[in-house]
Amino acid sequence: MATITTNKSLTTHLLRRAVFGGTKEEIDALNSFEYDHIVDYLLDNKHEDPVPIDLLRRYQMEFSDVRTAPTSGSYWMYRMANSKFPFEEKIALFWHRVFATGQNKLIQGKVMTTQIEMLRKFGVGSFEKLLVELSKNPAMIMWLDNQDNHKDNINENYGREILELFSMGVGNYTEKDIKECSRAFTGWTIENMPYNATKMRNNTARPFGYIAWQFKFDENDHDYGKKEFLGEKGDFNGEDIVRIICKQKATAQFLARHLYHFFIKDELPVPQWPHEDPIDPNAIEFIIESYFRNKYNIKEVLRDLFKSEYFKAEAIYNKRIKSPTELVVNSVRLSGGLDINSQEVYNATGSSRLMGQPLMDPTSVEGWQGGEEWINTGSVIERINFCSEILGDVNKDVVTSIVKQNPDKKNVLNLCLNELGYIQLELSTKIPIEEYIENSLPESIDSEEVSLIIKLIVSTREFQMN
Amino acid sequence: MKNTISKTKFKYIDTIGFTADVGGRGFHLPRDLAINSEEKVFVINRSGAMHTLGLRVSIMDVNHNYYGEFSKFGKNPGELYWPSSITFDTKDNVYITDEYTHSISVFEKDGNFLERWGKKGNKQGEVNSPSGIVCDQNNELFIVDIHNDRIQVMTTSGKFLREWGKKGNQDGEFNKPWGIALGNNNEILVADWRNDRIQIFDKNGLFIDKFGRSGTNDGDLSRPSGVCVDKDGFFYVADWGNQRVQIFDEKFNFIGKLRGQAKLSKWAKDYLNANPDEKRARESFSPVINIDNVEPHEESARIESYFWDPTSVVIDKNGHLLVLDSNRNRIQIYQKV
Repeated sequence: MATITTNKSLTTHLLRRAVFGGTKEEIDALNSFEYDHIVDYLLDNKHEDPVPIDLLRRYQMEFSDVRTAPTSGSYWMYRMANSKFPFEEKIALFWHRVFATGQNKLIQGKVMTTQIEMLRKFGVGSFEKLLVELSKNPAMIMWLDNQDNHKDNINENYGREILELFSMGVGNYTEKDIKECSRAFTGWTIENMPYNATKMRNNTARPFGYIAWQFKFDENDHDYGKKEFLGEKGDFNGEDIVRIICKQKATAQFLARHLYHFFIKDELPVPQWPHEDPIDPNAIEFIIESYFRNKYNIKEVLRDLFKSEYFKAEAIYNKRIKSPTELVVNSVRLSGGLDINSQEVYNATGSSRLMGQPLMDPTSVEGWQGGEEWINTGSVIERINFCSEILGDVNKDVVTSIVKQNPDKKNVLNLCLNELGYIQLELSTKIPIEEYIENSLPESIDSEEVSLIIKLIVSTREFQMN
Repeated sequence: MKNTISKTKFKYIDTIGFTADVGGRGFHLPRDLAINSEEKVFVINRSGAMHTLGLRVSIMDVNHNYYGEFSKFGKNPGELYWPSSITFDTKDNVYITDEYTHSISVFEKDGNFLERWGKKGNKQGEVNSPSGIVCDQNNELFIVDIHNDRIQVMTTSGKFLREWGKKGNQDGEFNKPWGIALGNNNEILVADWRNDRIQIFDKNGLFIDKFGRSGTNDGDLSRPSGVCVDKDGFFYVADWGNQRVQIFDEKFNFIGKLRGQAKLSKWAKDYLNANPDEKRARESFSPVINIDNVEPHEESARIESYFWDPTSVVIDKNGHLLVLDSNRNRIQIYQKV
């Protein structure tokens, strides 16, 4: 397998996939270290204060109660765009796509924000612990109706989806397993459920705003009876069910395919997985082995993956379409981040929505399929317009940095490509831009010309991909 | 919750308010309040980017009478974008700071717009996100200039008089200060937000004293947003980051703390009476639940009666403490007994 040969390309590749891309400054700073050390740094260098939450809540008051979808999505967008520890945001984005939960039903954004916080906290630890926390997460409970799952009248919604969408995938369990799984999760509800459910149904913040939900185990509504699940028998509760799920090879395979899909290369849409083999079965087997060897620890699986030949393969370099959120966050980070004292975060969140990825508001419980589905005539225009506007802004970091380097017609293209995170253009893309610069730009290159070239670059396929 | 640890006790009296995010009787993300000479309570509703119809100044009294509202979201004269603080001059004219437009808007007591002044900058007379504002008996305005980490004193028409402060944590220095209030002898009290303390000055900016230290224990402060003082010299601090109000005596000894005990306001009861399904569902509502181990902000989000981002504190002529309970769109009222 041919692998990426230069350390700078590897560093660039890692930053694009593991986080949201790097600025020239970030890439240059990391590039002197051994690749494996860079992987460890990205995964382990947890920053105690990644974003100034106090300032954020002070200036953007609506971020404090995050009541609506645009607001809670914007709060998260701000964190992704400005965090000093972007890996935890990227991993939360990964899980948000797998455990797709939407506040179009939940109404209040606060509980979604709390769910994302849970994904940040538990998304890099044991998958077993993560699934337990997910099952106790109030937003998930209300999203999949587990508050209506009673010992004498089960609701199978969550019991079905934890198997189908969150762990094993279709074809690896029976209808009876779904029922037994659901029985084990009876009594997993939220505090003050009748009132909070009514407020949710009525879509009202009155009289005094929403009340953030909290998990409650109602022992009087739990089915303590014997159950049989995936061949095992016992008086299982939810934790037991998760424990049994996590030791299945089907779970490891399902998770491996998701990780491959998000971090390596676009896979087929999830509904096709029961019927189509993975693109790279060897890579999937590699991830499965790592999953069991690392006792289901997600961060260690990713560490193995990022250091593997599958991740370093030349064939995947710059071949994955950036999701709308990845594109927006990448652009904003390149441009210097979002100003805390402004409303520009709402533009960024709105653009991600227009491109097809409304944060905390996925189109369905299956989340976003990604890949070529991100691209259509409308979304392409939005993608190019957003990047052009923010990265071509003559007052923001990218243009001002290039102008400080005294560009001329010979070097301006490379300066721009480097400043955008060492973009590598294919010759068929590069030559026409070079000809345009040579034939159409004046000898003296100032910020307007730099902005123009930036706008050309961000509209290329190479920039739109990771 | 036990509210005090000393002989001085504080009794919950009442709650005013209601969520009204598109205008009308109630509040939306209120930021500051002040009481004029007619005992009318003016509340600035900052609202949010997605609820711009909720931005306005509400006028009411402590007996739940609602008199109306004025101004709206916008950047034009007479409009407000990120209103932060409110005060009155001796004629009851209204002065409102705006952190976004770097200006002070002036209205008559009935809401008629008079003028707007202010310019972004760091020179004398310029401001960079003005926050707290208070007017003294001589009609001198004391304005918290957040990003310049200073206090500026101006006339009611915006003419610069004097200034003090710079960024830092020494006496007389500030780190993103927020609220400001007058003491009983016209001292200037400043909520030195990111330094987690209250500083006290004379009106010329001479440092007098300070109290508070970073932390979560009794007497500690976390990002205080507002302060006021009663006739006995007791200090009340909106301990925003700790989601509580703390009380200190005139020697800065810790006297007590309030976490919030709100019950339904009159306007809230009116709403529930008009919505019987919610009223019925609320009959099973347990107002205080056992909380997981979470930080105070999340705790406040889960318990409706607690303060959730208290931003401002004011003492009325009866000695009652009004606490602006921002994220719950209400005012909680307490009395010292």
